Amino acid sequence: MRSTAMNTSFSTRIAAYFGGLFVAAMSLVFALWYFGLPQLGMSGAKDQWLVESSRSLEMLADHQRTRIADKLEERRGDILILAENKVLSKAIEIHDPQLQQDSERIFERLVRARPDRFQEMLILDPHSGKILASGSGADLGMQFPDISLLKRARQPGASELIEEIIGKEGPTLAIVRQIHAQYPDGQPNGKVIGILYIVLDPRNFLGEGIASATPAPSTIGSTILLNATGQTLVSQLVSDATRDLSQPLLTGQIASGFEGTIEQLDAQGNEYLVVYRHLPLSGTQGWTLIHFSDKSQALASLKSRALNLGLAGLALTLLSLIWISLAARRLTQPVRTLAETAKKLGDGQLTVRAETRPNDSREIISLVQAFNQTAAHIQTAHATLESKVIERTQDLARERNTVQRYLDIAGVMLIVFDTKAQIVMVNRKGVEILGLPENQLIGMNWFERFLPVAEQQIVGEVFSQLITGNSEFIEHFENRIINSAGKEVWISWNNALLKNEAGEITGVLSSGEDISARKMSEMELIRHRDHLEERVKERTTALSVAKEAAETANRAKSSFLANMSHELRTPMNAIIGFTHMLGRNNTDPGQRDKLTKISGAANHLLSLLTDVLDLSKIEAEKLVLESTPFRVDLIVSNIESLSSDKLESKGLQLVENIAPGLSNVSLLGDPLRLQQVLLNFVGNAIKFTERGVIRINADIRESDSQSVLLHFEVSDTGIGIAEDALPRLFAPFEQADGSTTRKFGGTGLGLAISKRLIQLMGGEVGVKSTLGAGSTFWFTVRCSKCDSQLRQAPALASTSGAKAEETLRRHYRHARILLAEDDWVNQEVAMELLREVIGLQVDLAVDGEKAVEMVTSKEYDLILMDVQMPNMDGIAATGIIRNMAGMASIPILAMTANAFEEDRQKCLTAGMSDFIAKPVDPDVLFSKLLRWLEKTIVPKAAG
Amino acid sequence: MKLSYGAPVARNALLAGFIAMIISVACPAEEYFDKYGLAPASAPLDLGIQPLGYPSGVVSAVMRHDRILKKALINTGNPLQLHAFRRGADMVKLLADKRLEAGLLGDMPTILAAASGNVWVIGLVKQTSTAIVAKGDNQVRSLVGKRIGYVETSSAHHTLLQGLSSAGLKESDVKFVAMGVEAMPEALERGEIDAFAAWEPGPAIALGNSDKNRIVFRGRSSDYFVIERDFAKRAPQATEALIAGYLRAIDWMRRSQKNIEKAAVWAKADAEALSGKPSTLPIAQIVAITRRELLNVPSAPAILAAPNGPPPLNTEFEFLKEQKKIPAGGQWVNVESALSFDGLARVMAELRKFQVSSFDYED
Repeated sequence: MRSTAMNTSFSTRIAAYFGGLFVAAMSLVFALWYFGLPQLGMSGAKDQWLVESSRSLEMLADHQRTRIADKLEERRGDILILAENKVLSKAIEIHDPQLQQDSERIFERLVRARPDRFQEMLILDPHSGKILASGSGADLGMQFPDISLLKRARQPGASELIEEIIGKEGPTLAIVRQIHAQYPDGQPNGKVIGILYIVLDPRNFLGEGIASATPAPSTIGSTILLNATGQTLVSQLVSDATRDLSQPLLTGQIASGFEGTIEQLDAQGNEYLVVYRHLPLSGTQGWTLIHFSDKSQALASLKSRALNLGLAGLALTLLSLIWISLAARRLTQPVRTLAETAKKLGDGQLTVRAETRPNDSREIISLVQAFNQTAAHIQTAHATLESKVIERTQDLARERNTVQRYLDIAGVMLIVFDTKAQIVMVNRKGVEILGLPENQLIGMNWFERFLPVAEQQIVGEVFSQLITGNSEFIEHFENRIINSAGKEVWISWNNALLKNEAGEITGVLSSGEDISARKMSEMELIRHRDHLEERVKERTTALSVAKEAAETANRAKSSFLANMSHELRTPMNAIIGFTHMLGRNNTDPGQRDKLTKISGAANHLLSLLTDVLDLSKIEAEKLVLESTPFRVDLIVSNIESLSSDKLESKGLQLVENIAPGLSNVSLLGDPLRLQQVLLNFVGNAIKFTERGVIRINADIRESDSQSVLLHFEVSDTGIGIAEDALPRLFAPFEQADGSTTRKFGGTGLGLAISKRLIQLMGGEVGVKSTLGAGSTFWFTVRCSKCDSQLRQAPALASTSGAKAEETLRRHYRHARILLAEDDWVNQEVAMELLREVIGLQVDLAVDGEKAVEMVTSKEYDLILMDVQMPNMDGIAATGIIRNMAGMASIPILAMTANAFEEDRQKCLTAGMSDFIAKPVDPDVLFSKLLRWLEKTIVPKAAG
Repeated sequence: MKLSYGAPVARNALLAGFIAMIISVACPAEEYFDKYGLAPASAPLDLGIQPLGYPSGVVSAVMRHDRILKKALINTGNPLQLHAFRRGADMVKLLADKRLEAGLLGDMPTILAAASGNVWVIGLVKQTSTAIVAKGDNQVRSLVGKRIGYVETSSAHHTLLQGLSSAGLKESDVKFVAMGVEAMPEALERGEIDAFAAWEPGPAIALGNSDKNRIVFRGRSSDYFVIERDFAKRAPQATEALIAGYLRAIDWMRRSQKNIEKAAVWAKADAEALSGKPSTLPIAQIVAITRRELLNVPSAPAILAAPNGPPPLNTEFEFLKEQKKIPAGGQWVNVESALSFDGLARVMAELRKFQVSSFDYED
């Protein structure tokens, strides 16, 4: 690895490590010394220094005191000798006149022997105080002035006094000794015969004493000698500033007679170390020797030493750092050389080798040898590797050529983009499409070079989102590019992200197909489509007009059918009604036969009319199916009831076979139409069966959660149908053959209508038949399941007409009926049936308006309401009546020639209770009257 | 025990201590001096000495070896008997009840004995200072919160209070530890106390034990030679002989270095006999102490009053009075009276008669 600024050299590190260690150690020592431990630290040293300073001061003070004491001792010894001088003692005792001369001689010798010690010598009479002798000759014979001293000096036992006196030059000391008489052998006998009084020279005694004991005032401190009253006897001061310190000392903490050491502030706030010592005189008298020193001065040398020590330490540190740096460079020189050699090796000079020097250490020699060995290995390995690389490169080149050929034969453009959308690779097709040679395309930015300018920015941003994984990758898209020739080319792209081993996106591989031709076609198609749409629009408009015309025609057709039905039914009502009434009271067999034939013809005509209208309605798609709850079993039961007369007349048996799953199950559908189909099938079966059984089977063929597929079969044991006639059976106006109509009657519309109805209900219809053995008609119909249970199906004719007529006549003759009918023929028929046949109370309203009026004026038990009436039709009248008080439940039965299902629904919706189609079947009329009257009034006994 | 000037608690404590002391005298426990068999007004001249203090112990040692003194006292019918005491306070009661005829006392016991009118003060035995010695400290103010050994109601006690006062300290600022003066240097070395207040040789021994030990304060103190008044009256000749022996001892030591060194050896032996262990104090130091504190004192053993100062012992008397240590009936006039004793003058007036300048000491 190449050395960088971050990778400091070995020598630098050695220098840094050892230098840092040394600096740290020095710093630690200095810090400890300066701040740290007592004795070792500056703080401790300061205290220690102060202790030492005070000790020095104490020693100096002690020394000064000792010096002074020694001087005093010497003088006391001199005076002791004088006091015990026999000659002197004898001269005093005998009052020798030579005393003065002897004294002068002795004093002169004393002064000569001890120069500058004594100022005066007096010999006093202990009792009178007279000066007996004087060393200087002065004051001889005079009275000693200090009587107090004299008294104290002559006291028994007071052999010696040392007293402070005021001498010629100021305060000084006087040594006073008793002179005793002596025995002849020289021994003192204890009698005081004189007082020896010697005045000491203060200059020599005090000044020299202090000066000689003080080496240098400026360095040690100041000295003051005070007497017991605090008066300065002598001083040696460092400066005048210290002069005033003595007084506060004496008045403060220092009292005569004591010794100690204190710290004291002067008036300027300077702090002093003060040592004071007691110099005893005689008795309790004494002087005080004070020696003091400024603390700051005492510490000055310490601070100076600290500074010197710091400077010396700094210099030593710098020298050590230099030495360490040089040593480190020298020690690491072989390593640097080896590093340079290694660098050369790393730069490719594989033949380079390190060399050793004679003074290299064993470690360096071993390192060099290891390096050379490694270099040799590297050289060998490099050669081997290089040959392998060449070989591998050739392989890769071959593989690349192969891949390139593969790519080139591809029919689509293959391009690899890097993450900056620069072309990394492109195949021959790409070169062809883009119009530039491969070497020019490589490195070219795709968006800047081949995208339309308007799309470059937005497509580039999308690409950036995709390539950074921040957006869902678009695997397929189409866009247009501008190739090098400036031609617009549509490309269909298929893309794949390229990732490295770490899963990072490195680029995109895209295959692009030139779809310009297809695009042109598509655009042409679009143009055609646009044109076609215009045509369709025009056609639609035309069709819309045609449709409107058709719908108009359809509406006219529907109206025609309805009018046709009404207009046919109205006369049919008169025919059937009057025929019925004529037949009832006619006992002439010939007329009754004719009337029966008229009735049959009328019914046939009516049936034909109904079928024709139904078929027309179906064909006109005007038939509307109901969707109401119903039960199969009830429908089948109705079939049986409706067919019972015919079955009985032919002696046939109807067998019902309803699957268990259909019993008591409610379904949604159009029960009337189902019943119509089944009734048609059963009617046909009865018609074409002379004997045997007619079966009705009903079961479920399919079932899911929503619906069921019902399957009905009606089979008979009749004449059967020829196979070739079967396909025509369900065609309108078709029967098995022409003879059928002639023999059995019928319009030939029943099966056609049934088929249409079944188809409308989503089912199928069919027939199986064997000629002479019978037929089976079947149909399927899909019905929705119904959640609610229908308990009973609508009773179409729960009671037979004859029975109903009889019941009405017997129990409901008092019932009051309102008949709303505008047609006078129908009025007559209805009135005849109601009044004459049954005997009901019937009022007539000629229109709806009249009916409403009559209802308001009279109470009725039932209303028979025609629909088409002048002034107010039956629908409007019913609506008004229903809104009248107390009229909510009165039975209103429609009786109309509008017999279509939608007509029936319209009546029920308007509030009518039931529906009777014209022509009125008297049986149906009587049955419905009975049904509704039973609900409104209490029957009365016949009578 | 902590002492405080004027502090009620401390006063009460002192009073309680004094009462305890009285009680202890009234109901004595076995004391070391009980084995001396001292009896009131007995024929022998029972002299109480303090071998553990210098130069008092030196003076008594010389007197012990004084054949002239012994002979003179035998002649008077009062043979000399010396009894070693650890502290002067122990002798006060014995002097009061006449079991001791004389004694070498410090200034405080002297005052206590004199104030009651029991003794005469013959002369000075020592005039020096009592010192406060501390380990590692060089100033009194550094003793705040430290333990200080002392001898209650001794001159050292007086000096200790003076020293504290000089540094602006109160008794409550330090911790007093009562103990025998001979035990103080060792207690200081063992760290049991941080300082002590004592007279010589305690300070000298402590200074010799360690360079860290420093004298932080010195106060004046004195020892005195006292004699029981009744004995002096009853046996004036024995009294004079005793005084002569006292003067002779001082004079003899003043005569030569050899004499004083011999006296120091004797004194050291006496001290070791009492303490039961060898003394570490060099002879030269004992000699120096004796010179400085007695022999070189002008006029010693005469007691000189300062011309303008208070009478001798007056300051100390006031201190004891303030400490309520002066027993009932104790008065300053008695002390003054005791100090006016003329025995020393009488003997000094007849030096030849009392053989003051004749020396005969047994080795």
